[in-house]
Amino acid sequence: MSDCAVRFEEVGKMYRLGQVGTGTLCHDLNQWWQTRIMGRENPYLKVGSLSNQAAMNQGECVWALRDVTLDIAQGETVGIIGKNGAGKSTLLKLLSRITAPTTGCIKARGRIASMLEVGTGFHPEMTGRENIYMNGSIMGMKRREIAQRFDEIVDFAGIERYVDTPVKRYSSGMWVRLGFAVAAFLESEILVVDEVLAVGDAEFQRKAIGKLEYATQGQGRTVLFVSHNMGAVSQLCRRGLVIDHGQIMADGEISRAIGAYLASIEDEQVGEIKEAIKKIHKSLAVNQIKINDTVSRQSTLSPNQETLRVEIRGSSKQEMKGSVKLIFKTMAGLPVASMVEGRVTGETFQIRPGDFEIECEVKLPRYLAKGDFLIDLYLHQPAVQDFFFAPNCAILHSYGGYQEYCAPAVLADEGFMSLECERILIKQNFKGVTVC
Amino acid sequence: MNPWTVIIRPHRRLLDIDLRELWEYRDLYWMYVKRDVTVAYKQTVLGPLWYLLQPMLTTVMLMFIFGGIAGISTEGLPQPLFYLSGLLIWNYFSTVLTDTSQSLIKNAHLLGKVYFPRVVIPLSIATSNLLKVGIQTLLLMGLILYYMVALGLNPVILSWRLTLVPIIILATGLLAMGWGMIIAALTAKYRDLALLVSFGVQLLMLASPVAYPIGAMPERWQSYAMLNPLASMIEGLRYSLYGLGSADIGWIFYSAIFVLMALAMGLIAFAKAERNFIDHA
Repeated sequence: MSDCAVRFEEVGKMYRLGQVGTGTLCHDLNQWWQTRIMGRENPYLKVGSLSNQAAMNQGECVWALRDVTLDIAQGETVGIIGKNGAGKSTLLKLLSRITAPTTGCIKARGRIASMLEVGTGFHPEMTGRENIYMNGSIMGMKRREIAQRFDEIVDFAGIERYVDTPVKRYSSGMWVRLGFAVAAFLESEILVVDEVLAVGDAEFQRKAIGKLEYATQGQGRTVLFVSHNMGAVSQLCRRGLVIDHGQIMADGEISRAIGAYLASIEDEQVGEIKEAIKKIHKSLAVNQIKINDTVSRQSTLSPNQETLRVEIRGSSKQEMKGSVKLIFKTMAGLPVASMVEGRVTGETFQIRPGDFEIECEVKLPRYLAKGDFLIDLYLHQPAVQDFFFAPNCAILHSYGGYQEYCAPAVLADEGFMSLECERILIKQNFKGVTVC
Repeated sequence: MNPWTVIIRPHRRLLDIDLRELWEYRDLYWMYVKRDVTVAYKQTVLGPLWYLLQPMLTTVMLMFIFGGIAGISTEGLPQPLFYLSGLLIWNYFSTVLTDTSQSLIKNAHLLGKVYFPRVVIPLSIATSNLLKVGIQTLLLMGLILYYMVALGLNPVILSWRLTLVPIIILATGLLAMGWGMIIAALTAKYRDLALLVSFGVQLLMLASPVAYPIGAMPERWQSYAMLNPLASMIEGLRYSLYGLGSADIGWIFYSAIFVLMALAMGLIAFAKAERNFIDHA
């Protein structure tokens, strides 16, 4: 049995909702009076409420994380996955001691280094060299330790020539690489990484994952890793933790955890598409949305289907210029394609006060990949405002476009669509004659 | 099994400063001090000369308004020496107070991403500003030399009392840091206090004997004026440098208690605020 490196004991974190401003001093005094002096329950705390939409509308306070109990063994790599707002980042913030838990207790063995965002704490006026020392010290390194690692850090970041240039003259890529390098070369037993791979180019991501792999496998460091990039998570982590509404929904071997997460997204896709609308303009009402000729949130694209129909029926109280925007995503949330015609061509249509019906047909690629797509639907004025948006409003099951006897491309391996070949040519020398 | 090295709990003790941890972060403290000093005047034309220029210009202004127009006495001391000594304390106090009170909000971006003992920031502010004090002290010494050599005056009294000067400066720094941390803790949650600070600092300068001696006040007001601990600092500095006024043991004791209280309250409030401040930022 290996040593336990991190232990969460019934950890909870409560946030207060709404604007902190007028009235909070009054609230604070009232809360203090009721709980400390009168010994009553906190009047602003809704017991049992979770961070879902309903609770957000009713309660003043909300639990971003609730009763999380968790043991992480030394040298384990744990991928933390979940939807936006599920509580992943809160968990990392608590462990990084950026904010304190409301209940429970977190124990850890060894130094904790956190990469919640790379390059924070860089001072633009200072040179790369000064910033390496500065940033290293912020993360708790000794001058001596940084000096020992200095060349490796500079080498990893690839900034040898610019070490003595103020970082404000760095490109954003150099900035990110340097930030990552400083944190990655920290001698800490526990490494907390939040979405840092979302920035930087492919080359950097490859290098960064390699470095993290080395940290876990080569050095036996414990790593907690939050990412929406399921590929990176499954490559890097052995264990997966699915967080949903502030609680651990699944915990176990990484591929199972990812499976459970993806299934949970699909499970939510019941009911009608229009129920997925998150934000809507106040003078707009939507009565019905049809995607692929159905109001239901799940539908199937037939093989070789050429177009996807989107229908929006509703009414407006004011005149607006609009356009439909559609985003295709993988089930893990990675956008793969979009239809933003209005932004590309600048063309919009006029919605006059009263009832309206919008019909829009999206031309699908000839060789669409096989797989499941999540759809985000927007009615917007391009680059000005969104009239409504409905994230993850529908799932399209695609059989893909294919010809007889040939399998379609697969979404997970080959991407959203296969490109069509315009011309292919082979040239060979055959007995001195060029044959085409 | 090794013992836990990090334990994160919701409620901690009232005055919770992990001195061992703070010691671990001493390199960061020095980095901050160095950074504040070097960065402040990067890309400026006059560079560190600003450290000299600012008190000189203020002194000239005070000579014009308080010495010239208002005609307030400087107890027989040449006006520049009188004002400059008052400004030495005042500038240190006001800079440390203002910078510390903004330390949480200004660093919110950083504090939201990385953990380190937050007290490092106020400590480094109080330290890096000592450099300005040093430069102003040099300016004051230069001026004193000028009066001695060129005008044949001897304003400074050489005695054991000169050893009080560093103690007074240290106490000023601690006082400013204490108040700064209290305000920082409050502004973290109630932003409107930040507006009050800049206004309050302006008023406080007039309430402190920077441009006038306490002795020039009507007798019955004097003890009220001394309730402001800065009055003891400024008067004390003039007493130990030039032998002006008198030092009352009661007021010295009062100021010492005041400084310690401010510091303790500041540390408590700051420690409490730093733990959840990022949720409001």
